[in-house]
Amino acid sequence: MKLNPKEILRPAISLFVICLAVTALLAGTNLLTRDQIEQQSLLAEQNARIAVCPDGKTFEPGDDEGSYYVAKDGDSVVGYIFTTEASGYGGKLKVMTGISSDGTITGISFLSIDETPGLGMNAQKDSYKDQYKQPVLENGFTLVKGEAAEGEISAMTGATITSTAVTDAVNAAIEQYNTIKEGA
Amino acid sequence: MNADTVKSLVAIFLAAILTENYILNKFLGICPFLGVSKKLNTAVGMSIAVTAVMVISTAVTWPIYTYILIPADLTYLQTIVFILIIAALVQLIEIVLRKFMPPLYNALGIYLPLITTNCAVLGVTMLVIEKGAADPTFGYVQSLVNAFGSGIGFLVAMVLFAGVRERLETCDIPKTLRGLPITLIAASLVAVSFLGFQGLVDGLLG
Amino acid sequence: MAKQEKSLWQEFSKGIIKENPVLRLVLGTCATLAVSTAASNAIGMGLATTFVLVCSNAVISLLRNIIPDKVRIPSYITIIAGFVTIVQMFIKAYSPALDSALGIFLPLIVVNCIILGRAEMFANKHRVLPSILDGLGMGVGFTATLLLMGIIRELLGAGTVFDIPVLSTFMDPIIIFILPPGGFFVFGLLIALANKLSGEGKAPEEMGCAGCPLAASCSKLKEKEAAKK
Repeated sequence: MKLNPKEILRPAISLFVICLAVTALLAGTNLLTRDQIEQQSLLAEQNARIAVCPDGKTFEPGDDEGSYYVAKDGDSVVGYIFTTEASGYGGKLKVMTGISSDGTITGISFLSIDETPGLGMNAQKDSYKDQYKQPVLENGFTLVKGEAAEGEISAMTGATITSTAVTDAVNAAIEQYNTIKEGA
Repeated sequence: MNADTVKSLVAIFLAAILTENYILNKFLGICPFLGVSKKLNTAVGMSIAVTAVMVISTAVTWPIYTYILIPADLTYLQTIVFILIIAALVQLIEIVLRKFMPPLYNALGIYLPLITTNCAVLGVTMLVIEKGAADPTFGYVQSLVNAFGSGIGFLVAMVLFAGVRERLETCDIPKTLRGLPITLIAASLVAVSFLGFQGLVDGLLG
Repeated sequence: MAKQEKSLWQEFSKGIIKENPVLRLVLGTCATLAVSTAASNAIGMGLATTFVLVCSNAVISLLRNIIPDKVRIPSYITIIAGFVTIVQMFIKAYSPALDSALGIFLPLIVVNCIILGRAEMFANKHRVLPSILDGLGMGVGFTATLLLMGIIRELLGAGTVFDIPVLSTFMDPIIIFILPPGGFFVFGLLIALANKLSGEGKAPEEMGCAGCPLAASCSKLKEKEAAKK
């Protein structure tokens, strides 16, 4: 096969120029949007923490690995935020739990959840999540079907596995909280 | 490799086939699913070619992303870099096959050019990066296993559906629904059956 | 130009109904099925795709005499990928919620056959203005179809429209409509409806297929050719 150098060169050069131009354009757009994107993700993190720990003004990592966060208002510690996992119906559930320094759960939220829409996904509704807002118990919460008493969580109909997973994750957070309290 | 690693790899493989099936659960690769699933042998040929390209693309894009794009702070180029790598790889595979393995080229060659813009291939290379970012234990080996499983899942869905479509051929279907509409409704029923796999993998392997 | 070009209005309006990219040409099905679980996602995806479609059509039409034929497809892919990344960055910066709702389907706009199909079928043969209008029309058609599917699925599957409760006030939603099977089902019925309305069996003149790399083995095209004989 004989190829005219011109026949190879021209396509190669034009493709190269197009790639170069597109990359330059992208680099420009990146410069333009980079700060905004970073701000957005910081803001999202901050908002997520305030949602589970409304009294916190600033949040600092509690240890070197950043496995939990301490919520502060000025210099005083107002609460702790833990991130725990449990296996749900559609994979891993990541739950963020806020516990105030006097031992009451101030809120939970989901960092990742992939449950069945309409059933397990209802765990994200306030009507379910708000059940956890109560004083923590030594051994964590128990899941029940039907009406829940104090220290109990009423499971979602048709989504027992998800309810169990969320409760397990919150209980794991309570365990971490107790360890910190004992150490303090 | 210890038992736990093997177990987690098996779980990743099975999940990719059943619960995270690309076609029936994630809606990736619908075009070939509707276009090529009419006959069993073309469905199988296409799926094997897709599986091969998925694994090879992941094998190349993962290290490029992890060792070049991340250190250079160029992750925003991911889309463009990945699609160009896939396009180049497909060309390369085609040339190599034609030169060294003519029988294989004759069997799979016609499907290769179709794969460049198959969203399942670009999808798998991006999803394994996403999974790796969410879970640090999800590394190179896990990504390859996931890519392979996704390809096999693609094959399973294509083969199952080719069977369903062959049955449809002989049915008396209302005129308006003939062709694509009835195919999609059949796909909907196959997808229902795949919903049943949800929660299965974790339950199987504890 | 020897042949008179179609009126600009026609270039725009054909994409909305007559050659609707989703329902008539059956392109871009992956994105259609995946993001139509809620009306708001459908609009976001539709607008992002329209933007890319208009920009890439414009640029490709501008460069149609410069890009050598041999590297045509890689060049188009590069240009399209560039615009997709730009959209991605702006959505990340100004609407992170939309970014997480669309997830991987945002970068996957690159491989949406509608865009490469229009580049190959239309933009590289026509002047800039008609190409832009063609892209805009196809984009509007895509967005409208996505929105229609999004509304149907959200209404039946979650009982809401744009997150405003409609059906959910007096009945339990039919969850399966926001699950994958519901997507296939609604899509199938909509195509049947579109076929019915536009006259059965009459395939659109200009199938987007030639631009789709699947063309060689796609049964859709073969059927059409068989029908011609």
